[in-house]
Amino acid sequence: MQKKMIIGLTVLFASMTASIQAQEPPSPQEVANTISNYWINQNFTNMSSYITNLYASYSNYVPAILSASFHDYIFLGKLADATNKLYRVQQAVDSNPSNFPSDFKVTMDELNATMKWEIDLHSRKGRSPEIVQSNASPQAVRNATGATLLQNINILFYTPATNAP
Amino acid sequence: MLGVAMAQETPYYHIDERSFVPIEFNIEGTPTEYILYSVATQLTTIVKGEPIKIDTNNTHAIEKRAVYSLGYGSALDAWNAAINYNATVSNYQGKIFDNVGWVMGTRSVSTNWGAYVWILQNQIAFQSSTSSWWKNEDCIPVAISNVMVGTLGNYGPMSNVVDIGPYLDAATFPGDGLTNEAIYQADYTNVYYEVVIPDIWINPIEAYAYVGETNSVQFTVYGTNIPQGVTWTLYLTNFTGHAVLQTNADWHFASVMPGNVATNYKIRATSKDNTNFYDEVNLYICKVESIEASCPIATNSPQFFEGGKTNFGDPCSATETGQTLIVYYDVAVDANFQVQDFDVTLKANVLPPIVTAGQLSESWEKVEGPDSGSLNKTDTFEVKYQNPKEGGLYQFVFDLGLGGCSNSGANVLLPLAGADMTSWLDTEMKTVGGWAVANKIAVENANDSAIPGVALVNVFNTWCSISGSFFDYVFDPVDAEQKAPCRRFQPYIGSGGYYGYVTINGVVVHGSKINNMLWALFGRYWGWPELCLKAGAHLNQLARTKRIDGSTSQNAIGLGDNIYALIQGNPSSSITNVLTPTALRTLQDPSSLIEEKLWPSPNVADIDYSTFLSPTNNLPTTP
Repeated sequence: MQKKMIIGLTVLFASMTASIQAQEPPSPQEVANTISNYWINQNFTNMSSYITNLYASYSNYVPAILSASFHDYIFLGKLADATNKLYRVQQAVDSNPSNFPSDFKVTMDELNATMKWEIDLHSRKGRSPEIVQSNASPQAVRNATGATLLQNINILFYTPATNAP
Repeated sequence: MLGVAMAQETPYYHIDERSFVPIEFNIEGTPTEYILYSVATQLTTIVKGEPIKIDTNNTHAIEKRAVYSLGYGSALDAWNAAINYNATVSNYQGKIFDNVGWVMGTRSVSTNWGAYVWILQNQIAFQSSTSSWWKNEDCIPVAISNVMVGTLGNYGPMSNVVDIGPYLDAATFPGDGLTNEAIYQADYTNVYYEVVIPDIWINPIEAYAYVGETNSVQFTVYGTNIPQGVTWTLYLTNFTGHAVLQTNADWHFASVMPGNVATNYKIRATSKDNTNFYDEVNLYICKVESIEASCPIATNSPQFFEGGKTNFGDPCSATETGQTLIVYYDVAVDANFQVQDFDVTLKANVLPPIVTAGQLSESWEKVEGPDSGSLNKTDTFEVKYQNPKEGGLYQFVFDLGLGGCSNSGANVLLPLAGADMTSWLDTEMKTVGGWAVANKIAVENANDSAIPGVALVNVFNTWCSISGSFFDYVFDPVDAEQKAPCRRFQPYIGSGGYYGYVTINGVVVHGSKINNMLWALFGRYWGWPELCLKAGAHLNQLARTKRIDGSTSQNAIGLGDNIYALIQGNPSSSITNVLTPTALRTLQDPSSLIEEKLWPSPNVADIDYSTFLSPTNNLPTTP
């Protein structure tokens, strides 16, 4: 019975995934609104699921990449993965700068700088990536920021609907 | 009028060679002053007189008929007998003969001598003049000192005279067998007076004093033919506060106490013997009504400074500002920010208006102010102070030139910004890196967290707190002479973000822009890129005033970033390589500030009088 259930669930999941892939990605505004509302309302579970699914469905979509970078950073503590995702987006900016508004590029500079700073900080304090990952806590960050959105979320409001190479 | 005697057929008795000839002048056209003076010196004090008044009752001829004396042993004896004989005198009542004289002689008959004498004389009784005064064409009486009556003689005025002539002193013994005869006539119609013209003069011929002077002005009168002296008068005095004449028993002297009114008086000394003769001089009681300072580019021209005072308060006082003419910097410079030539006119309004600069020994002097510009003159009522090029307070004093009179003054202000703090800023900017980095480390340590994102948020929030509430310098640069700044034009300077106007590399900027520059430099050392800093300034301004950050503030951030790059490239390089006058002027905001109106201070800030406070020790390390 358990095997049948797994097979059934698998078939169901596969069909759902195929269904998502066939759809257009959500607009950057929708992504921004969804994620910011989750953050403000401290709905971290749904926020995590949404971002995970979004990136899984649209891994080249810049809003999805940025959302996933944020998720890697705050939810998982995977600073290297978060940095790599930012790097992909930066390459997209560098290859076609006119496709990105100036506010976006300024904020990208800021995200790159803060991520570098974050990594250096933990390195200086002798904290290994594993320790950092083990301490990841979106709730703690949310407590520190209050309702103010991090730049990692703000950038989504002026991210163009484009893909990264 | 006496001249050369003219030849007469019948001589005149008493005075034979006297005639009166008028002096004539041949002046063509309008005579010059010299000609008038020359001819005037030829005039005498002799004028034509009225005919003598003859007393006909006592006027007659005296005829002593010929007397023959005979039988004398000598001609002389015979003549003496004849001359002394009281012969009958025949009078011709009322007649005056023009052929009077005598005939006499001696003759011998055998050994006896005889003599004959015949004498005819005029007795003229007259009054020399009917008055002691002669009147000219204007009926001004002049005293007669002497009446010259033809050839008869000189007499005092109104003298009653009985003249008999010719005199017989020439009727002498003719000699043995000789005759002696003489015929004369008299001129009694040409009558001339010698008049006495009084001469009076007062010294000094004009005098000056000032209103309220406590020393009296002395006058002395000199003269001729004023035996009774003079009467002194002062006019006009029909108003309150007039000058007061003071005299004493000695009529030679008088004095005048000046009084309290600026005006001109007449001092007159009148002959008591003849009130038609006097001398008159001027006395000017002066004051400076005001000093007028004007300039076509001044903001409050003209300014009238009350005369008689030099203290008009402190024009740069922040509380009780004194009076001054003000010239702002922005109207004095051209498009290239070069101070153009301009003049300030200073005019002493002196009363009474009739007094001119040439009558007094007035002088102007600049007693305070930068060594820039100059007075075109110093010895007249109106002068110009030409072409000042430096800011500061110029103070001028006008001396009326009357000893003891209070001076008058005027102020001209080219208001200075705070002293030049370029040197201090250069040093400070090169130390920012040290404490900025230390501050960042301290903030990071204070906010450290193993939770990814938490440290970042808290460090960022601390940065925002520093930027918004704690990063405030205090700049109050003051020069050694404490002339800069002019406090009147400075806002309150203090902690908490209160700035005034300072001078950087010859340009006046608001201190807040310097603070922005230093904050940007601080932020760069923290690691923030320029664009982030500018964006942060916008956000900060939005949060405060609902407006984005102004362009001048953004420019200051840009210059801070440039200085960061300069110091990174060459730590000893002067910040003036970035803070050029052109760059500094991008920090000026005429729409809301007045930095463009203030004059850059040419003097550097003196550390003993200046206040420079860095926020180094006040920066928090946690949000």
